[in-house]
Amino acid sequence: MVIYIIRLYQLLLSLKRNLLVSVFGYASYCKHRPSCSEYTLREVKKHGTILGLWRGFKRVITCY
Amino acid sequence: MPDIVGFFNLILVELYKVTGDLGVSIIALTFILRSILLPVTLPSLKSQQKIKDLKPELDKLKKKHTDKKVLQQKQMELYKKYNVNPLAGCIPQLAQLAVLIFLYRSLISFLGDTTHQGIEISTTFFWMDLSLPDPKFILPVLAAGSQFILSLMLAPGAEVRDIVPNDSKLKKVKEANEKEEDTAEMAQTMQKQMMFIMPIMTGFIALKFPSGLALYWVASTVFSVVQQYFVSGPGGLTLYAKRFMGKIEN
Repeated sequence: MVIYIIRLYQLLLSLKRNLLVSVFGYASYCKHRPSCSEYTLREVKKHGTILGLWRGFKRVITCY
Repeated sequence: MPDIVGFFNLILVELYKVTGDLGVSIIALTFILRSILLPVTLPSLKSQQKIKDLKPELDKLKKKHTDKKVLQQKQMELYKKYNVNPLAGCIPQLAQLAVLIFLYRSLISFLGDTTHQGIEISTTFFWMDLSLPDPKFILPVLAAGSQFILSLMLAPGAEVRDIVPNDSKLKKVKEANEKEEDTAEMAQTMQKQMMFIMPIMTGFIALKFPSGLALYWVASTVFSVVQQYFVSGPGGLTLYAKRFMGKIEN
């Protein structure tokens, strides 16, 4: 379930990117590689939903 | 902070006083806002272009260093060497989304009321009433069209892919390569579909919303297309045009 939600989010990412570029001419790239969503997806698959989401969350908040 | 909405409205009224035409004011607002943003967007766009150009080198580094910390350090060194300073992270994006919401709300509220600061504002612009959707469907088509061009320019398929040639004798490496190619391809097909979805969505949104908003959208997208063209070149546009022409010829 969580995996599907993350995949859906990834699909919508390019829409968000297009939206920002058309209005502002620029959309910043992710700071982390692999991206937070990809990382979270991997962690969820590896360690289960709760631990995976927690690790993903920790990663998102280090993006500033 | 409703005052940001008020601020945008104030600019629109001032522009209306100068131009005497709401459509022209909206277009002028787009150009003013985007010109103010230019000092931020241009260096960032150039940085992104450089990162794209440096991708083969980055991939080489990735193969060379397996330790994450060393890799990150080397990556930073490479960026520094080529003077790349990407405006990265989610904070700029969050700020943009916030401004976007304010802009949207101020345009909607502005178009919903024809009297501002005691001035009666005429909403007619060419054939349409800017407070209502475009009856001739020209703006939605323009919105979708310009969005499609921008999508093509941003299309990820145009980048040169740098996958290790599959002549490695190790079975494991071979499999890993194939797997990587598979996922890359899958992601690309999905993104290709998204390329069409965004313009279609834009068209529909422009159909339903006041044409003043659609006008802002079109002006802004055209500005982006021109800006993108001058900084990063046509991007995926040439590639897709070639493919399209190839298909027609066959």
